[in-house]
Amino acid sequence: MAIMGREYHHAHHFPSARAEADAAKLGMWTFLATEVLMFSGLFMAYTAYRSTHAEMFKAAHQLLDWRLGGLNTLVLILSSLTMALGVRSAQQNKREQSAFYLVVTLLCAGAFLVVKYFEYTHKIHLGLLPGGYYTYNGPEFAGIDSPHIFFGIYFLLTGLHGFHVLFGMIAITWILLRTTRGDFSSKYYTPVELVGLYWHLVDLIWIYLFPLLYLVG
Amino acid sequence: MTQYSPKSAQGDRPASPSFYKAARGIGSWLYTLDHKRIGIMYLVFVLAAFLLGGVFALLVRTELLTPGKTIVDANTYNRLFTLHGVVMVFLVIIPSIPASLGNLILPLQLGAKDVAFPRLNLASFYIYLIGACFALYSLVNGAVDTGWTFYTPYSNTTDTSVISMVLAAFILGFSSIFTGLNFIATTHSLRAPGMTFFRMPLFVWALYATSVIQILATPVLAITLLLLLAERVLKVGIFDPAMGGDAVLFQHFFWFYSHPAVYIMIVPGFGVVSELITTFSRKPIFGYRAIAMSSIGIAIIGFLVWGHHMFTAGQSEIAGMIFSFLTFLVAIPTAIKVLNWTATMYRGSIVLRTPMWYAIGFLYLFTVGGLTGMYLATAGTDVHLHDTYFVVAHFHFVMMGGTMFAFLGGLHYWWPKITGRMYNETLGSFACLVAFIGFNMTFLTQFVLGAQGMPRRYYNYLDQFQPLHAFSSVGSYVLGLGFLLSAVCLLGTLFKKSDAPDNPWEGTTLEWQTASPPPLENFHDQPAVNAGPYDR
Amino acid sequence: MTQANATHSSNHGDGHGDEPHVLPMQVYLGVWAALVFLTIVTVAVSRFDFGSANTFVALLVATIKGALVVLYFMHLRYDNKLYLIILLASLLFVSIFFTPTLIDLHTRDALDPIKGRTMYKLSTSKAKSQDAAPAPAAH
Repeated sequence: MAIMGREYHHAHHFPSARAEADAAKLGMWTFLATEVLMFSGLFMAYTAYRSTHAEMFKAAHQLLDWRLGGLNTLVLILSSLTMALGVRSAQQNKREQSAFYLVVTLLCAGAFLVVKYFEYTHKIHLGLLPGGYYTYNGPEFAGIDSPHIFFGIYFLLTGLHGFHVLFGMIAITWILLRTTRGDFSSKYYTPVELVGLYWHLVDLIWIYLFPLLYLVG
Repeated sequence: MTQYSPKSAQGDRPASPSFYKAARGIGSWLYTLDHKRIGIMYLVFVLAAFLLGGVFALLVRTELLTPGKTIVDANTYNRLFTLHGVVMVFLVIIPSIPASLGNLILPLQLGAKDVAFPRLNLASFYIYLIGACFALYSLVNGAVDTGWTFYTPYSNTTDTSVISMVLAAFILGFSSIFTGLNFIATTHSLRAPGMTFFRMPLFVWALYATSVIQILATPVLAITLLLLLAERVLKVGIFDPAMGGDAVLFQHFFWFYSHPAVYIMIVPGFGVVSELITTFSRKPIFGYRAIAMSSIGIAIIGFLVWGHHMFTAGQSEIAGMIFSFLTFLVAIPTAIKVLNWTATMYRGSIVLRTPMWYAIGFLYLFTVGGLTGMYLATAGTDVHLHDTYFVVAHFHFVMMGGTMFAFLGGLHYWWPKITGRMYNETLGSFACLVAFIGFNMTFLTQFVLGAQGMPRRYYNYLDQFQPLHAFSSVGSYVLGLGFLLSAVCLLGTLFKKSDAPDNPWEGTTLEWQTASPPPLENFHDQPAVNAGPYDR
Repeated sequence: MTQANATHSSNHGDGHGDEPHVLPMQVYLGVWAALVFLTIVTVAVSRFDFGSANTFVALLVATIKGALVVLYFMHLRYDNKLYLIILLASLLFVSIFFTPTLIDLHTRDALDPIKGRTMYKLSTSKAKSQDAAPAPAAH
C-alpha cells in the first residue's frame, strides 16, 4: 500500500477499494468503542466518588476555573469543525483547502494544551495534586472528607484526555504531510476520514468532562 | 463437500509454491504480512511461554509435595505461583487459540487471502513480544508476588517489581485488542462470495464472539492497570482504604475485564471443538444456529457476572445475590453447546483420531469444570469454597481441561494443514491419554482438598492433606509427560518429508479445499460458497 | 500469486464506489453554532439549582452536544448503521460496568448496617460520618 503517486491502488486482498475503505472505517469505529470503554473506567471512578462524596466534589470543583474549561471547550469545538471541514475538502479534491483546515485544527489542539498547561501549573503551585503529593490546606476544605481524591481523578481524566490530544496532533500532522504530498483525492481519503473520527471522539469526551469536572451542580 | 464452486478446476495450471517457499530468509518472517506466518510466529512464542508457565507449575507442585519447605522458601513460592498465573493467562491462554490458530485458520475458513489489516496484525504480534519482554524483565528483576490478580492494597505496597509486570499486562492487552479488531473487520468484509453469516464455520463464529469480548473488556483492563500504576506512583488513593479509597472497587474494575477474559479463553476452544466433533463424526453439526448464537450469548452474559469473584470480599449482599443469579444464566448457552455436540456424535460415524480424542477429553473435562462452577456461583456454598483448592481445580478444569485440550486438539487437527506433515497417530493418541490421566490425577484430587478446606496459594499445610497433595503433584508430572509426548509427536514430523494430503480428515470447511500447506494467497481461485459449512 | 480473481481488476479505480457523500457547508456551520450555543447553555444550567436533577440536566445537555458531533461531524447519520450499533454497544457495556458496581457501593450496609458501617469506607456518607474515619495521612 505504498502510496507515492497520485493514483491509489487498494490492497489486493480486498475485492474493491470500496470494501477496503469500509473495512478501515469499521476498524476505526471498533477502535473508538475501545476508547469509550477505556475512558469508562475513569468515569466509573468519578461516579463512585461523586455519588458517595457529593459535598467534597462540590467544594473541590470550585478550585477549578470554569472559564478556562469553557474556553477549552470552545477551542475543541472549533477544532472539530475545522477537522470536519478538512475531510470535506479532501472529499472535494481541494487539497490546499484541506491542508489549511488541518493546520487550523492543529493550532486549536495546541491552544488547548497551552490552556491546560496553565491550569496544571496553577494546581501544582497550590499543591492540589493527586493523593500522595496533595499539600493544599485552604479553608474551603474544613470538614471535607478526602478532597485529594477529586484531584487524583481530575488529573487522571484530563491527563489521559490530554494524552489523546497529543496523539491526535501527531496523527493530524501525519495526514497533513500526506495531504501536501498529494496522497489524497476524492477517490481516496480514508486516512483523513479516520483521523477525523478519532479527533471528534477526543472532542466528544471533553464535552462530557467539562460539566462533570468544572460545573459540579 | 458440495458447497464450493471454484471458478475453474485446480488441475489445469501448475501448483503455486506453499507460503513457506514463497519467500526465504529471516527478513521474510520478521516483516511478513502473511497471516499464516504471523500465526506460526505466535504459535512458537505461545508454546515457548506454555513451556515456561508449565515449568513454574511443576515447581509449585514439587514444593507442595511436603508441608513446609520442600525446594524453595515461602517468598519464592509466592513468586512462582504468581508467575505461573501471569504467564499462563496473559502469554499463553489468551493468545493461544485466537492469535495462533485463529490467525492461521480464520482467513482460510472465510475464503479470504488475508486478514483485513495485515500490518496491524504484524504490529499486534510485535506488541505481544514487547509485552513478553516486560514480563521477562519483571521475572529476572525480582518477579511479582501479588498473584496474577494484582489486588490492591497489597500490590501498592509490595516491593517486588509490580510496575514492569503491570506494564507487561497492559501492553499484552493492546495486542489482544488489535487481534480482536482485525478479526471483526475481517469477518465483516472478507467473507468469500456466497458466505453469509450463517454459512460461516463455527470456529469463525467463536472467534467473532471472542473478538467482541476482547474489544469491549480489554480496554477496561488497560485503564485498571493504569489506575494501579497511578496508585503505586502517585498514591491517588482511589483503591487504598488508608487514603479514603475502596479496595473492593479495584476488584470490580479488575473482574469486569477478567471475568469476560475467561470467555476470551474458552469460547475459541468451543469453536475448535465444534469443528472437531462434526468432522470426526462425519456428520453435519447438530444445532448449527444454536451453537453460533450461544457463543454470542456467552459473550454478552459473561459481562454480567463478574461479582461472583467477590462474594466474600466485602461486596454488598444484594449485589452478591444479583451476581449469583446472573451467573447461573451462563449455564444455559454453555449447556446448549455441550448438548449439541453430544447430539452431533449421536449416530455419527465417529472416527477416533487424535484430534477427536482431545475433543472427547474436552467434553468430559469441560463439563466437570462447568458444573463445579455452579457450586461456586451459589453464594452460600462459595463462602465455604472460596479461595480453596476447589476453585483452583474448577478453573484448571475449564482453562486447562477446556481451553488447552481444545487448543491441542485444534493443533493436531490443523497440523497437517499448517506444516504439510502427518504425525504418528498412535503416539498422538497415547500422549492425549497420558495427559488426560495426569490431568485428572492432578485436579480431581484438588476438588477433594478444597472441599476439606485446603486454602489456595498457601505455602504450608496441615499434615492431613499431604497424601492428596503428593498424589496431585505426581499427577502433574504425568500431565507434563503427556504434553512432552505430544511435543515429540508433533515436532518430530518437522524432520520428515511433506506427506499430508490436502484433506486428511474429510473436513468440509474451506481450509481443506486448498493445498497443505496453502500457497501464499491461500487459494488458487477465489472460492465461492453455496451451502452451509458442514453440508456433506 | 493468484491472478484468477475476476472481480479484482474490474473494480480497480472505482474509488469509494460512488462519489463521496459531501454535506453542504451550512450543515457544518450550523452544527458548530449549535455546539457553541449549547456550551453557553451548559454553563447557564449549572447556575440554576434543579435539585437532584442537576447532574441529569448537565449530562442531558452534554449528550445533545455529543449527538450532534456524532451524527454530523462523524457522519453517522448518513453512514453504515453498523457503526452506530458499535457505538451504542460500547455505551451499553459502559452501563453494564456502572450499574452493578454502583449497586454494590450503595447497598453495603443495606442488610447489615453494623457490618456496612465498620468495614467499608465508601459505603454511604451516613455510615462514614459515624465511622469517624481517620484523615488520610497526606491531608
